[in-house]
Formats: sequence, structure tokens, C-alpha cells
Amino acid sequence: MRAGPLSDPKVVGLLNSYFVPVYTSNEDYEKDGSASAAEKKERNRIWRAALDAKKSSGTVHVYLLDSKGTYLDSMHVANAADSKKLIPMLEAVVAQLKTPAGKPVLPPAPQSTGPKVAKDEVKLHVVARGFNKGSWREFPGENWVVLDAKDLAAIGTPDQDKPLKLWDVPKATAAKVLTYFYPQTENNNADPKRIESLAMTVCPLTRDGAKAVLRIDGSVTLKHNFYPRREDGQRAEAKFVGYAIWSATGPEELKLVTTEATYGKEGFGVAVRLVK
Amino acid sequence: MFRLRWTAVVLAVAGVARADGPVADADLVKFVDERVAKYQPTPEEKVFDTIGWATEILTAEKLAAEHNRPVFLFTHDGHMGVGRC
Repeated sequence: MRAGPLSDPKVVGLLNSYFVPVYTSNEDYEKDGSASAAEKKERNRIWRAALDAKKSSGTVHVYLLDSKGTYLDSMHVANAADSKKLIPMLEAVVAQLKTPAGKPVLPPAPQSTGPKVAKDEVKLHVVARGFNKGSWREFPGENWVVLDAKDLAAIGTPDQDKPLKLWDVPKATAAKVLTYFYPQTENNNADPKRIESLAMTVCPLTRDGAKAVLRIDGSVTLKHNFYPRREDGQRAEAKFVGYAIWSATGPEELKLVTTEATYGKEGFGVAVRLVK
Repeated sequence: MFRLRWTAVVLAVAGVARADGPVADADLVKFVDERVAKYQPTPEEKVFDTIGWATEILTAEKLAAEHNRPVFLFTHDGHMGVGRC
């Protein structure tokens, strides 16, 4: 949907001008999910209303409600992902309700901003994209990683007394980042336990008394099924390189990028950067 | 800008190719910066962010009542906000 109609200017214009748009992640609405009980109850009411109306209902669907929350129409994602099918449904509801055009009710805002971090923490932005052209899977997937003081101490130091030699980043720290080294799949389980092997080494290149420039090299192999809970033996394998600029207060810059990466027979790329 | 230039200079001075790495030290910053930039989401891939999304169904319904508008709800697996879906 995001790579299709929700990037289509016509659909975006309709949503902003006539609707109050909202999207929800099903995992948040599962029994142990983070959504409130009231939210879960309301989502389930809408699903039930579609069934009662003998219309399309399911977990991955578009639902349209009127201003009182009454169910109006719905569409399975397989159809809704086609703008030519979604637009008529949106326009029909606008015509039925005689909704006047207006400005977005809520101001548009970036949807991927990462978590807030404490003073002694930093956040890294991870982008992974597949190289298969013409597929939703070339659309970039983003993740955010928070490194705490312990992680940062394990990666870098401007310490002038430390010998100019390589050191290994502990697996627990490296895994926080490398667990997201996989392209778009239906499966978003990013449990670090999927990692079968990893290496991340740091080598100081220069130190000028206040700052150090560090070279980072490494690799990772992780088991990652394409579909959730469906064993297929697929693995993501990647080699990466990067650099960091480290001062007494921590990293001023930190970037990693894959030099080669495959998921089965497919190539993909990952970029990691420090965001302040 | 200054920092990047400084980094490029020190790496160039440091720069001989490392036998165990695919990218020479002298080329490291340029290589990494360019490739990191290349993989970032493009403006076309961020059109999604130009939609005025509500964060919850109940909030959307409240706003819909206040503004006499219909609600568009998309329920999905994954995390569409970060493109992982």
C-alpha cells in the first residue's frame, strides 16, 4: 500500500482533503499488543461491522467509516493496492456524504523519526532496500537502534593512550545494529537470536588529541524466513564497512554501509547513520 | 562540511589500502558517505509522510466527528510507518 496508492498523489489528495486517515499495525492489536483495550475493542467492532454488512473484512484491509464511526465500505489489500480500484471507493463515499474539500485535519508529519534517547545514548537510523526492480521489496525499510553508554564504550574511544590496534565490538552491541541487515520481507521478526555469526572490528586510523577517526569492518549472517512462522531456511549475508569520528563526548559521526549483501539469490543494501 | 573535509584529509594522509578490507582507507569516507546517501529514502518514497495521519482509531473517529469527515482506516501486518511491511 505504501509503495502503491499511499504514494499516489491522487489518493494522497483525497485522504488529506476529505478524510481523517489512520493506519494500525495488527501486532499492536493482538492480545498482548501495545494498543489500549478501548482501541482493540473499536478495531474489532469495525471488523465485525464489515462482516455483519456481508462486505469484505480481514486483517489487512481498508475500512471507511462515516463521521459517527458507522461502517460504510471496505476493500481487501489485494484490491486496495491498486489505485484504480481504491480511488473510486474513496470518491463514492465522498459523494455519498457530500463531504466538502478542506485542509488536512492533522498536519502531515514524518512517520519514521526514531525514539527519544537519554543524554548518554545515541540513535542510529538503518535503511535496508532490495535490489529487485519493479517490486515493493525495493522500497526501503527503516529501523531505529538505540546504543547506550555501554555500547558506545565498546565501539569507540578518542583515548590517546590506547594502542593503535584493532578491537572487536562485543556481539551483544553489534547485534543491536546487524539484526536489521535484511531486505523487505513479509516477516519482520528482528530477534537477534536469528544471527548465526557476526563480526565487527574497529581500527583507529588517526587521532589528533581530541578526536579519533575509526574504521569499522564486519560481516553478519542471519537466518530470516520470508514469511512469519514459515520455515524456509533463507539467510541474509552481508559484509559492511564504515567509519566513526569519536571525541571525548562520544561519536560525532558514525556510518556503516554494506559492500555486498545477499538474501538467497537477491542482492540488497543497508545503510546505517547516526542521527542527532 | 568542515568536519567531512577534515576527515577526508586525515584519511587521505592515513591512506593505504588495508589488505583485509574491500575499501582502501583513503577512499573510506567518500565511499561510505556516497553509498549511505544512495540508500536513503527518496522524496518519492516519502510521499506517505505528506498525509495527515491520526495515530489511533479512536482519535481519528473523534476528529471525524468534529470535522464531519469520514475515516479512512488501513489495518495491516508490519510497520508501514517505517516501510517494514
